[in-house]
Amino acid sequence: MAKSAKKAKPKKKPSTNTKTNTMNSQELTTGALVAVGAPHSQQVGITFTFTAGLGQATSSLFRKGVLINMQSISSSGSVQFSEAQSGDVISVNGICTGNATIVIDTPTTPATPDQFNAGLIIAGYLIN
Amino acid sequence: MIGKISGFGVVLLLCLSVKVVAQNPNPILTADSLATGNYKDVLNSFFQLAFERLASPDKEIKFTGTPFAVMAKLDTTLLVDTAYLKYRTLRNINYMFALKLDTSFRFNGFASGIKYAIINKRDETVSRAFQIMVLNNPSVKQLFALNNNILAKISAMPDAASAITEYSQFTKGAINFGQLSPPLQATILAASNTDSTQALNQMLLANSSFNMATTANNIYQELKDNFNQNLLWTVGVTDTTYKNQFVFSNIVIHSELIKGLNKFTKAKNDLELNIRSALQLLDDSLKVGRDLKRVLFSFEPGINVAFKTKTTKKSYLEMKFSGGFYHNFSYLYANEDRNRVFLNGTVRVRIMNDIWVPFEVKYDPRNGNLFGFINVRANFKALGSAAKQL
Repeated sequence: MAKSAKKAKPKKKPSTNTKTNTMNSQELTTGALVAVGAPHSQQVGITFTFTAGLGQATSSLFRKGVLINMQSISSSGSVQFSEAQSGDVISVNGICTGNATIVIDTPTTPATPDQFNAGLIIAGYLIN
Repeated sequence: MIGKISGFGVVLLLCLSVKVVAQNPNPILTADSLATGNYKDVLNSFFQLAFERLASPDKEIKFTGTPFAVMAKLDTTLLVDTAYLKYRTLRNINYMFALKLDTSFRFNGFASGIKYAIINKRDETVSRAFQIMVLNNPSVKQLFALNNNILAKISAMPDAASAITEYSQFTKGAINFGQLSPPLQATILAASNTDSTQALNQMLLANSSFNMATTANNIYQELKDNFNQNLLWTVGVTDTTYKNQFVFSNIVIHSELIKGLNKFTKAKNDLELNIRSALQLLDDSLKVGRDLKRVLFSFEPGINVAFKTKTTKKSYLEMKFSGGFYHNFSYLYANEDRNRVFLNGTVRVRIMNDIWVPFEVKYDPRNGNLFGFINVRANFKALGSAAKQL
């Protein structure tokens, strides 16, 4: 009897009731999200000033790998992230055709104001 | 005496311009170093100082500027985008003042002019269409997606502060990918290993000297260069006075159109269509007294070829070939033709970043005559840069 005729053993089906493996499932709780406030939460404002040309930017707030909030602006002004926490990361993607200045009204790493010349704006800030 | 005064005035103008730029770098004065010299001659966005026809008996020192540049110098809040957009019309106006000098560099008349860009599709600083084009570029989308992916991962790292400090140096272009710490390199490679950023992932794996700021800047500059080949059409009036009494010796109503011909091609050199036309009102020297009864029309269609460096894409040499048709509407002088045709050639050589030396040659195929003019054109930015190097 050829060995190849041996009936293949069916693979074990993955369990359907196991926990979903997100990249941060170990620390992500409902309380960590912006939907629920926390005593140490704060409102963080990001001010964009575009000079000598138009500009546009999108800023996103990440907490432990999860996107919490995202806001865009197409002229000089501010966006507000309510319920931001220490350790959150703000990403900024955009364009300025003249110059741009980003100011975050809370201590961050790296510190702001941050200046950009004409071109793409690609930046990130950790809320201290 | 007047020659000395005019010379002193020019030196003073140069000193003032150097001082102004060196004191407070103005965003208006910084851009456009990549634009072709021909484009800058048609409409400049800041200031230009030109020494024209240096080898000719009629020399000229010409200053060109925009009212907005002066206003913004006095009130920098005008540069904020919300105000900047409102003054778009003012930014499309150029004015010009020129001192005419004779062979001994003595005052020989005064010229002034105004020019307005009826169509200016080259100004990316006020174009929403340009922003949309950049933001929809696939390479730009990849860079933005990568930035978000990396920062999402950093936000979950235990030592996020040191990671983001290092990553910021990477985004600012201070360090290359290969100079990052191995854990951050691994994080960036993992963040880029997605469907939307696969091309960047391959680039990072293949090239350890990948520089994010340089990559972003190259993408932006390429898109801007292509946008700067759009249509520009200007109209204007220039007048010249006699050296005494300040009566007009001629008035020129002119129009100029330029448009890039090889937009969005990978060609190294730029081709630019340039069409000029003018109506000149001159003094009829056959009649006694001063008048403006001699009317000449000219039409000059031409092609400008800009030779650019491979990496920085700056044009170092430009050659312009054009034809010229001239028609005289008024009374003809002895041996003068009503219609004349010329072949023109201009070679512009960039001797410094913002200083051009155009050499113009005009050939009359019928009579076999050849004329030549040499000019020097300098932007005030260059003078400021030169001052910093001293």
